[in-house]
Amino acid sequence: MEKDPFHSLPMDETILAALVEGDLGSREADVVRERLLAADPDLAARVELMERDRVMLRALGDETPPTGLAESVVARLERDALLGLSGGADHVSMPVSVVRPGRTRGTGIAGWMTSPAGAGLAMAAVLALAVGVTLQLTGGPRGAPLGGSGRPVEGNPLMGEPSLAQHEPAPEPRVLGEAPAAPEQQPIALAAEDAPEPVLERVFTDDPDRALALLAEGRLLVRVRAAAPDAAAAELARLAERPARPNEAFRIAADVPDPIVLAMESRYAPAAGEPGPVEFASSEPSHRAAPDRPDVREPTSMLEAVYLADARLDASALASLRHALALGDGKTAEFEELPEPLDLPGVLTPDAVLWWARDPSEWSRRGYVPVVIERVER
Amino acid sequence: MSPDDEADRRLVLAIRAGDPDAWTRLIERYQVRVFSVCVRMVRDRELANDLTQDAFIKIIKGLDTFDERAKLSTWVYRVTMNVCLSKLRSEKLRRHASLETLAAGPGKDQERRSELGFAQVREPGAERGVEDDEERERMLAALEVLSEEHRAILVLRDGRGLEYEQIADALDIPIGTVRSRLFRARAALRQAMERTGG
Repeated sequence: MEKDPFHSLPMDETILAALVEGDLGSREADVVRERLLAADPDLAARVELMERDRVMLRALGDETPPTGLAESVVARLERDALLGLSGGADHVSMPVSVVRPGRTRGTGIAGWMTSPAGAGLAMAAVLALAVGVTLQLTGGPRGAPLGGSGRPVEGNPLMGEPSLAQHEPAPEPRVLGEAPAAPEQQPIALAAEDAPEPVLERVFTDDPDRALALLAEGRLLVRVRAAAPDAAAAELARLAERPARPNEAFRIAADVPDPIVLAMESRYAPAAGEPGPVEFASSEPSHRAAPDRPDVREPTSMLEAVYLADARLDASALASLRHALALGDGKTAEFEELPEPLDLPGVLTPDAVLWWARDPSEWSRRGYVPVVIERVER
Repeated sequence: MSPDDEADRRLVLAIRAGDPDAWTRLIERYQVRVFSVCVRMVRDRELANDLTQDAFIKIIKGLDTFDERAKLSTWVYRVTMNVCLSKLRSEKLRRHASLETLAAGPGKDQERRSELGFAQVREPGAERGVEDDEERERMLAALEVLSEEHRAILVLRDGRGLEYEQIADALDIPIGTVRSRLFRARAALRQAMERTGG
């Protein structure tokens, strides 16, 4: 009698996986269960529970989405289309035509607002606010809020040098596994004649003027290397909890936008077989995954956390920031030059929007700089 | 080609032909599937709603990159998973600069997940194929403590019924990795169930 092949197959993960997934015929499955029970009853019981778990998972069913989801998506697409954020789909008809509720003349404030006079005044107020917001967003370096005291800002519109730049739509946040945005959506890179001398080290500690120039361009990063990243994070939390002061040298922001976090993460975990994106200069061995690893979206353990610091745009403020981050045992803090500017957010605070309410001597420029905490293995 | 695949193919043709209503039909056709994946991945309906919208925005904007040799459904799941995994990964790295947050124990995954708003979820109207709510909640809680990669593969395999090749496409991993990762995900889920008394 021909020997049943399933009686001789090794009881390894492959055959157990096939059993649990239901990939075996019923007779083969019975043979495998029988052999498993004879060889290892505990494992047999566990495999049976895994089969039961699979059935339970399949029985969980679907979730009902909230009503109006399609309308919300279409509304966002319309908004993106109006703001010029259609991405690569310009040649495809976007669903910009939706049924809108008819405009009705309300009562009270709503009614006044829809009257011609009320609408005109409302428009003037919105325009004044928009001017303040626009200048705050575009009148300085990327992501630079205005506020605090200091020297008057170069290019300030009230000084006769309007600096209203056209606001560039933010590029789509990059999702891991997807192709980068089209080149025209990338932040504007430095012109070749403005690029830093290639002989300069990208990592440095003792050149705050250089850090200042990079901060103004959105190309500065602060790397904190710590043997105890949790202690470093606690220190940053303590810094963030300090009461706000006018014109302070730096402040740790309460939150970090997703695109910044993802940009930092992508630098530490490139895809298999692909050259890493911008690499951090490091004297340590590369932590990138070996190119022949077949299965690699696994992040390295090197990057522990991402923060965002808001610093006054002067060399002493940056030196203070680096010094504060380097305090403590087993920690170092370095500046690093990024080859491309990050798309850093603007800050909307009452102070930033109402800058014209302050004395010109109190105006100063500020910039955002990402702070990454790396674990150092000793 | 199955009737579902044929319907998808006609939908893609309509969208590419410029039919303005086709987008809405696409969303309506896939919203339950996309939302269900997002809920299973992040276990927060409000966040899942945001991620669902994000996924559809990316799907619509990226439809010109869709290669029709693959199934539309697989591609939709791929985009949705990327959105969910990116969000989960970014939340891991983003440290909210708050002493209270750190005092809660930043080293513990479950406590960190509570920062993200992972709450016990009761979904009115969801079909209940599981015998009792306690068992369902235990399963959902066990799913939540798995790594994102293990959770993703179980959601696609058991939640959406995808075959190995489709899972490999959706997660951009080799098909051999699908089988081994799936088995390990099940082992991890079993372990999590045992820890919660299942």
